[in-house]
Amino acid sequence: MNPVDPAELSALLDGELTPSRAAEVRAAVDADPALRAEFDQLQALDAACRSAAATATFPPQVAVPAAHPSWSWTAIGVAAVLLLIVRLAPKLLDLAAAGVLLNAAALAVAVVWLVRLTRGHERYGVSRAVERSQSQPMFGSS
Amino acid sequence: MTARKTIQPDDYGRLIEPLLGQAAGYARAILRNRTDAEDAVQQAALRGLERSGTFDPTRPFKGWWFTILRNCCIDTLRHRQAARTVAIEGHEPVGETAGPGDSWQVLANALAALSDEHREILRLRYFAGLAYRELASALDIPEGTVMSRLHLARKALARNMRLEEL
Repeated sequence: MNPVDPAELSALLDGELTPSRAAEVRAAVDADPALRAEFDQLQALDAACRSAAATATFPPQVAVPAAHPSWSWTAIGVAAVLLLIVRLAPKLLDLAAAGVLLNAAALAVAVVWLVRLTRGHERYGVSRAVERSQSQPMFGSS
Repeated sequence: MTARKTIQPDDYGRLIEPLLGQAAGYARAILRNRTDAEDAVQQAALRGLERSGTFDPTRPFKGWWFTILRNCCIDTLRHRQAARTVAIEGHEPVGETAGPGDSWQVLANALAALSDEHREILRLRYFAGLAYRELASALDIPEGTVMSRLHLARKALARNMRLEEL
């Protein structure tokens, strides 16, 4: 067994040693009163520090503003519709049919957009540097 | 070339939500003021979202985000220092008054007497609850250095403080 580095006592305490090394260090601690005393002191300090630090925590009221709109999917949709129109338009004898197609495509894009909007993917007029009072609380209690 | 994986806004909110309590405690330990701590956490939440594209997914998120929070706290301290320079008497920021059960203030005071390296690693360990890998990321040091530095910091703290004080 490799000799125990004193720093490994901290790592043992923190559960940061591999299982095999932890078993070796634990055995060394059990066999050596000096190591045992040092480990016990570290353990008591650690418990006291954890307990003290826990008293500082509180649930902060934090708001994360909505992200800027992601244009990628909208742009892809618009590009696909325009491509379709360009490819199909010459084959359409009736110009009115092209108009209907264009309107239908625009309606489809609008519907997709609205669905994404209601799901919170796209929001407008919300700055990233929004003031807390202007954005919706995302976490924490008021 | 592979596409860099970044954090989506929905994922970002999900990732920081469980960190907020400890984040508030960590910021409070640095700033010694609950309101300033909450503001710093708010700022870190915004800054992290803005910089989510720079996050390296091979590194721990918690270490990355607490680095941002620490920088927000440092910014607050700098602003506070600047305000103090031009402060009219009586306008200086006031620290929290310790109440019963606020043993974190005793710990924060004890940490204040340590070196910068020891203070920061203990603050990140206890107030932020970072594991070794997260500490290594936050402090930009190898994990082996985390182990030895943390041990030395604990020994220094033990010399400076009696456990009964906590």
